[in-house]
Amino acid sequence: MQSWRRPLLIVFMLLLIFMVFALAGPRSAFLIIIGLGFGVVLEGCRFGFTGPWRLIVTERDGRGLLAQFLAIGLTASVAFPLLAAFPDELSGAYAPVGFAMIGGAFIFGIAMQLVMGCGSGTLVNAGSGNLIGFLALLGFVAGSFLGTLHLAWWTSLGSLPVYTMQGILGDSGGLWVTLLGLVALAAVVITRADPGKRLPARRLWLAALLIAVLAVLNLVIAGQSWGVVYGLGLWGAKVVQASGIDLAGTAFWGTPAQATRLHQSVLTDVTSLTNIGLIVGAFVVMRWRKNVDAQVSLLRNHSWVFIAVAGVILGYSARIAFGCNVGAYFSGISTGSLHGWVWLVAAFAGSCLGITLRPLLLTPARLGAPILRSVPA
Amino acid sequence: MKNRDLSHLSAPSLPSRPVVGFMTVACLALLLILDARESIPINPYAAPAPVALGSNEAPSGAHCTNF
Repeated sequence: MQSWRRPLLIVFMLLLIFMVFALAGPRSAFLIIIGLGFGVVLEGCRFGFTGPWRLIVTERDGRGLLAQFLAIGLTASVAFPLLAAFPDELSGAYAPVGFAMIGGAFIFGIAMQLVMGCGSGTLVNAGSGNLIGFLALLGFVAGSFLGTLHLAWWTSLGSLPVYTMQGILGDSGGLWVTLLGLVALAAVVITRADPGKRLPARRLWLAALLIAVLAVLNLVIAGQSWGVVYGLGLWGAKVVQASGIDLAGTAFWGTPAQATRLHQSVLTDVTSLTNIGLIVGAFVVMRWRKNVDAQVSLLRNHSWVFIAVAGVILGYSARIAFGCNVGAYFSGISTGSLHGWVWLVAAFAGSCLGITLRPLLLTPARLGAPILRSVPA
Repeated sequence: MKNRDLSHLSAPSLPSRPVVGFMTVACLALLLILDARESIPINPYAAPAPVALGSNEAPSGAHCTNF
C-alpha cells in the first residue's frame, strides 16, 4: 500500500481538478489548483500564522512572523500595481474600520490561540488530521454562518468609510508606505527576538515566496484577493438551507447577490474553491509523508467543549471583523486596505490574551503532556 | 533509514491523523453532494472567462470583506 500511496494521491488531486473543470469550467479548475497549492505549501513547509504570533511572545522567536511579513510585502509589490492598472477587473480586500470590526478581530485573536489555528490554519489542521482542527473547522463553519445573520447589526454600531492606502497616498505612495510599515514591524520583531531566532529557515523563505505567488495568481484569476471566511459561511448556509430553513428573510442572504450565490453551486464560489483545495492539499501532504505526525494529546472533556465553542467564536468573529488572518490581515494589507492594519493590531492584542488563557482552558488528560508537538519556526 | 510510523504515539483513545484527515475529506464530499442536490445546475455556457485579468469583466465573486 505504501508504494501505491503517492501515485494514488496524485491521481486523487488530478481527479478533483478534472471534476471541477468538467462541472464548472476552467476558472474554477484554476482556483482549485491554487487552493491545492496553498494547502501543499502551508502544510508542506509548515508555514502558519497562529504559531509565529505565539512564538514571538512566549519564545522570542521571530522567524515565522518575519516570513509572514515577507509574503505580504512580496504580494503587495505585485498586487498594488495590478490593482492600479486594472481597476475594472481586479478588486482588493477592502472593508471599513469599525467598532465591531476591531472587537471581532480582538476576539478572533483570542480564539485562534485556543484552537491553535486561524482561518487558513484551521483548514490546514483539519486536512492534515489534527483533531482539534477538525472540531474547530465544524465550529468555524457554524460561526461564520451565524455571523452573517448579525453582520448588519454589528456594522450599524459604527464604522468609518472604506479607506485604502492608495486612496489616501496614491498608488505609488500607498505601496511604499505599506512596505515601510512591514519593514518597521520586522524591525520591531527582530529587536524583540533572541539572536538565534531572527533568521527564518530556508523552508520559510520558500513558503513566503510561494504563498505570494499563489496569492497574486488568486487575484489575477479570480479578480479578487485570497479569502477564507466567506466560503465557510456559505457552506453553513447551504447546510441550513438543505435542512428546510428558508434564509430569504435574513438581511444578508436575502439580498439578490447573496441569494443568487446561495442557490448556485459552491464550485462557482471563489473562496469555497480555494478552501476545498487548501484542505485537500494539506490532506495530501499529510498522507504523502513517510512518518505521520502524532495526533494531539488527549484532553480533558471540558477542553474539547472549549475548543468547539472557540471554533464557533472564531468563525463568528472573523465574519464581523471582515475577514480572518487571510482575508483581513494578509489580503487586506497586501492590497492596501486600512482595515488590514487595524485588524493586525486588534487580533495580535487578542492573541496575547489567548496565549494566557490557553493553559487555563485546555488541559491535557495526562499531566504535563504537550497538547501539540511544537513545530520549529 | 527504515520508515518509521509515528502514529502509534497518538493517545490511544483518539483517532489517528489519517483517520481524522479522511473524516475531513469525507465531510467535504458530503457537502459537495448536498450542494449538487440543492443548487441550480451549473451552466457551462455561462462560465466566466478562465482568467479575470484581461476579461473586461468586473469581479463578481464574494469575499470576506463583503458587507
